Amino acid sequence: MPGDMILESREVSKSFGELTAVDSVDYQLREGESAGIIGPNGAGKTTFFNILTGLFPPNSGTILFRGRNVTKMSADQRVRMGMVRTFQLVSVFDTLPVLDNLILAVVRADTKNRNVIRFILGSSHTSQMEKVCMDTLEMVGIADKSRVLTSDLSYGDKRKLEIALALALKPRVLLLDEPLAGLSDPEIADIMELMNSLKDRLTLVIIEHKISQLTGLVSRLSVMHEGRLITEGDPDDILRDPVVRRVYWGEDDSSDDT
Amino acid sequence: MKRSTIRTLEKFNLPIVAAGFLLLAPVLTVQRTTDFIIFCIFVLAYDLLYGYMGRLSFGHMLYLGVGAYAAALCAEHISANPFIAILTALLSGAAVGLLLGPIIVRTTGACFALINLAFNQVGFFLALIALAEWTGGEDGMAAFFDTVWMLNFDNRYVVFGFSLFCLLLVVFLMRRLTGSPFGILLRMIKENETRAQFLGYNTYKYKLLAFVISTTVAAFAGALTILNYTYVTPSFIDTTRNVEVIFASLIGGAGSVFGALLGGMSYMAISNYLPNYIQRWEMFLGIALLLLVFRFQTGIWGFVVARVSGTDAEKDQ
Amino acid sequence: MISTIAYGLTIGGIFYIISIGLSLTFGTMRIVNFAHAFIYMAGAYVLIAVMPVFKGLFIPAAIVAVISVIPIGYVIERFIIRRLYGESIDLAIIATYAVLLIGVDITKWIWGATPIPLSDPVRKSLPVLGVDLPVYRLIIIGLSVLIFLCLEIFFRKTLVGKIIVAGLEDREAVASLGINLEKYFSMVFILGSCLAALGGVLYAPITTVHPYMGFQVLLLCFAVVIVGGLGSMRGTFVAAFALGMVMSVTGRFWGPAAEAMVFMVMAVVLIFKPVEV
Repeated sequence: MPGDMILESREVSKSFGELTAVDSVDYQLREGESAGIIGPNGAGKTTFFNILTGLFPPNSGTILFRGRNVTKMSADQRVRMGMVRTFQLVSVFDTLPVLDNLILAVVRADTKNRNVIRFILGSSHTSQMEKVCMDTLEMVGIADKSRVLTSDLSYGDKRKLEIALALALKPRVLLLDEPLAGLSDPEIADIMELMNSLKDRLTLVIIEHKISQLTGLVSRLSVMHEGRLITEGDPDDILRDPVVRRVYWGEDDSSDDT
Repeated sequence: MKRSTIRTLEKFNLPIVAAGFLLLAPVLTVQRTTDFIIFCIFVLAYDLLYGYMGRLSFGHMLYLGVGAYAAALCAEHISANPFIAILTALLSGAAVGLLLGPIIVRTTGACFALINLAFNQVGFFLALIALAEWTGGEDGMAAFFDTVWMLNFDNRYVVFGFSLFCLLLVVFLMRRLTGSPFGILLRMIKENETRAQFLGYNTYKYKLLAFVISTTVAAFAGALTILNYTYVTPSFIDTTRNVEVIFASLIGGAGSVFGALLGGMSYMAISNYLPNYIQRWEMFLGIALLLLVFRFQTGIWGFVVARVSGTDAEKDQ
Repeated sequence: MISTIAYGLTIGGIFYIISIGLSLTFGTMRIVNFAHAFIYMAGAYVLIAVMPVFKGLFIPAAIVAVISVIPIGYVIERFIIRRLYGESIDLAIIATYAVLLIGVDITKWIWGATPIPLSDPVRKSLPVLGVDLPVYRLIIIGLSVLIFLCLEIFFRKTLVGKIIVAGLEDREAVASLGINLEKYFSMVFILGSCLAALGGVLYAPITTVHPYMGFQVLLLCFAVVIVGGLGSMRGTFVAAFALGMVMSVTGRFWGPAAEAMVFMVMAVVLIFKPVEV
């Protein structure tokens, strides 16, 4: 149900040796919401995502997803429950053609494909599966490149492919880790448009370093600093918050708000 | 050669492979061609792990040996029916895969290579000493099979035909496996296993499956070897022989069914005919391996495919 | 009983000396260096070759043997491993195996395939708790402990050592400090090679010298590295002696099973301690 709590972290902490990357973070996300997490480099945003999605376990604390304690679940179990993510450094399969990247996500999402024999012996390119793939590629705008080897794609197109991968999994919650990082201006415009179209259809969490991009997109912003969640609220209020301003522009005067 | 030629090759792969070996038999003698065929099955089993899943095993002789010894033991103690012996070999291969797989497939890279090698060494010890009462120790053991359904396996032509049929079966199976979503998943595991997990796949389960398929097919090749030679000795599973199948995978072109076939053929041709002219065989193998690693990583099949797409690209311009 | 323990400690010491290089290349470059087995064997063969020059004196011949592998190690690192570094772990492993094959064949070419026995260079025994133990073996045990202590100091107190340890733990972090890790890795590689040669030299009088001696020992030392924990210097030390004891005790009851037992122990360790490599 929209408005219900879908993803929640309770006092989650993670340290690497001496360094505490995530420090007792409490975070809630409601179904249908689109939320943003901002913070300077090294604030622990990606580490927090990694814990949420099961890349590694937290040192302490619990993660709840759709009412279940998923803290000890593996990443793939969480994906099957509907928690899907992208990576800060685009992560797609360079050695495969674009279409082959998507096939497995489509197979995973389609409950009719759960037949093991068909999975290991059936053709990977049935016309029905290819159609779903092409539709997804169409949605992100790279359908014309479906036969291209992924390593030949531009960085921006790879980002689109990664989002297509995530969408093909039919997520309940989509976690995007700096989806605009490393892109050119026209590519940023494409991705922004895509995210705007997504926010009405699924629950979104977006990590962003560039603060200004998120204000029009999300309904709630959380700010991380030195592993802690320091404040959260309406995007416009957050931008006016003196504490946030100090974190962003006070200590680090290089003005990241490009 | 055009790209369409490759497509034709792939479409008619089974008749082409069959025709190829039938033409080869009069040239190489029947028993030797059978040898080639069986080795190709082994290379196919190996390449599923190495070429597709990206796991380099240095101990695959063990699984070949399991098949050979299982078939021989079956013939001696249970039934001399060759088909029951082969079935026993397949089940033993799968059982060993299921037993060792859970330990082995958790590792990658160097660990994977050497853990297989360590188990291979244990298997060698079992065959040579610990189970010598059953395996005949250093002398090995012979196996004789009954004639079933008019198939007399003392006849070389029967063994040849049967092996060729088995190879076609394995080629068909491998083409299906590698052309399925499972095949794509194996390639994804090779490139980036963590990312594959984030597509919702429990990669451990599929790695284990691929491993068990590989050990089972390797055991199949082992069982066929004993049909061809009627005896097996521990030297059959000597760990130093592993380099043969690695060499074959590399020279043919890892990660392709055709590559594996070409690799199996090439290695067998080299090892059967070159030692007559080359005194220092290990040095030759070493230098050839270095050349493959540094200059010819894509192997024969990769070279052909690259040439074909290269000429096609020129035409496009 | 005493002699079993002493034998276990002796081979444990030799395992340790050989395993350091393997563990370091494993930890830093993530590859298994089969060529290590060749260098180990080369040490033993050079020892045999130069013994007559020194009129049968062991120590100068041993020093020459250890030093002589430095150029071999350098060439392997510079032209094989570094060229494949970062490209593909699998290909690098295959390439080092190719070097081992070539090395074994060259050795067979020069010295033939027949095993060459070597006599105990000390030829004295010491009574310990009523059992005569060869002094030479006690020297090996002492030497391996000494090497362990020296390496501990080297890795914890010197700058070079600290950089290498940091590189073992997090390569990217060290590289991001602008430190050229490649240079240090090749130093590590050559250090490991010298120790492998020393292992070959020390083991030669206990067993026989033959072209395939490297294969066997490499696998055993690999088990040491796995059991000890990849790239862990102290773990390697403990595991070497533990597996040395396993081999020696098993060998006392059933000689041929000694090696297989080591691998079984390794398998058990792997079951309970999952390593991600």
